[in-house]
Amino acid sequence: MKTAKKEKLHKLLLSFDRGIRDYPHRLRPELFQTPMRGDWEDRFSIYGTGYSVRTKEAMEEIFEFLSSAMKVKGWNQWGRAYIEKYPSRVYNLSKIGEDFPKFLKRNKKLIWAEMARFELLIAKSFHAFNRGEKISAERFSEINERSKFEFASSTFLFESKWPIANAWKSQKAKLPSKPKNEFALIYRKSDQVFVRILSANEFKILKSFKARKNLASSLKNLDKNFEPSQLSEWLHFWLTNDFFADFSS
Amino acid sequence: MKGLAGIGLRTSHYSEIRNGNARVDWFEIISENYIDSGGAPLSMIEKVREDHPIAMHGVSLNIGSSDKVDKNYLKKLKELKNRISPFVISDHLCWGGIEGRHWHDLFPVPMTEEAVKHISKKIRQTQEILESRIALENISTYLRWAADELSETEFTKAILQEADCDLLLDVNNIYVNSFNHDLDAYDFISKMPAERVVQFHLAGHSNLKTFLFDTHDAEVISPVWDLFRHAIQTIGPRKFLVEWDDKIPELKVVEAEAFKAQKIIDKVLIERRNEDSKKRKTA
Repeated sequence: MKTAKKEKLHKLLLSFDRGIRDYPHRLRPELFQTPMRGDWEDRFSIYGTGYSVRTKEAMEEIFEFLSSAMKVKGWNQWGRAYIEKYPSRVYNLSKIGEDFPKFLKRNKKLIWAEMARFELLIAKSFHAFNRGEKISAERFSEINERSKFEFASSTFLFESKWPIANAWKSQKAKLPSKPKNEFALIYRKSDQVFVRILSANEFKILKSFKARKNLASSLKNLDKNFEPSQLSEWLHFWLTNDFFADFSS
Repeated sequence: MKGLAGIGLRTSHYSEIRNGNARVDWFEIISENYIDSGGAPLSMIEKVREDHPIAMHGVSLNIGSSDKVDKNYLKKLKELKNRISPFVISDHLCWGGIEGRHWHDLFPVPMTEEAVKHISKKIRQTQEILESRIALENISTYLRWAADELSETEFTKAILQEADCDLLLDVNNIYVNSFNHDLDAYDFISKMPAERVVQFHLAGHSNLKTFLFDTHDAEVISPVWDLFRHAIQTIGPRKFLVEWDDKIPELKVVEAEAFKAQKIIDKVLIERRNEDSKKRKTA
């Protein structure tokens, strides 16, 4: 008896759910009491349209640059297509756009997909839970060639065939028109997210660190133009800007 | 009576609050804005809680859904609770998703005996996992299910009783529902179990002519203030919150609304004291 009753609740909610998913099609007036004033379709529209309004707002917060660069028409069309294809499976609206880069790439919107991937990392950096303690300056002298570095949760490497990070930093809401290899690092300091454009060598070293290789191994296979004197400068910058959560000596 | 006035903590007010310009007694946070965020938002509440008590108010508990309780969500909620020690944890008596889909909305639950049992069980599990009592808020609704077997007062009271949880009484939502479903708002308040009411919510709404829409984007209207006065007279003073979530004005404007509510409480208490004193003299 209990199961049958629970199924009844489940079925009712599923009917409502279907009404939202396919809004404004497949509405079932028999599910609701007739309102005293007005018609029930007007009232149901509050629920039917609410999802797209809220997800649009949340996505615009995450993909601020991209939504401007795509212009209103493009953003509305592709944003809507995305939320129809990927109904939210997350309880938190701040995580709504996880599959947006993949969706754009599948639809051959490659530059948009790259910018979406980049802005998602910006959002992840902003929200990441970092360890409370920072590496103190007194520890810098402990670094040696066997040292391995652990990235802070808010630090992300970004590599693209398009100058995405440069476009984002320009704040002109204009996507790049020509491809150009680009390396960047997204990091958070004092709760603010920053983007650093990297040279190929700086990127290679950091990528190697990320793969948990030690300092000595990370300096192999660099481009010829690498000057060892750059390393101490970089290390100082990385350490004082909270790129790392910790390192082993 | 001090310590009752609260408003929602909103990013547009962060700098003023950080500069020590807030005059209200406490702040409410939307739990979901913080459970997955360790950067600036978390630093902000850690700063705010140095001077102000905090209430955690969620929108994703999905307690009315036929889905099971989301243990991953509750784990994160508990982590936040342990970090910021809120004076209350609340959410809504509604559902917002099913079979893992989330609509990020507050939908009405069919008010049936089966729903009472199912929801009460989920509330008890939630309270057990959180190791804390929770309060549920009565929501604004625009439609009633044909399958409803109970009135909203019967349904709410039955759940509070069976789940042994608290009530966050939203006075504006009662007013909205009384218009939308032709109910007696005063009667609703009088029938609520006062001992379970831990907080009041107040907000503005939009009038769409044939129904009212709970938009939280305007000042509280006069009939809702009257209803709030009635709630204070019948239930007694409690912590209260002015919700303003859209077209958010300056901090001082939101605070001014909270102080209107404070004045109503103070006036009711003075009237009550005068009446008691008269009675004593007569006796």
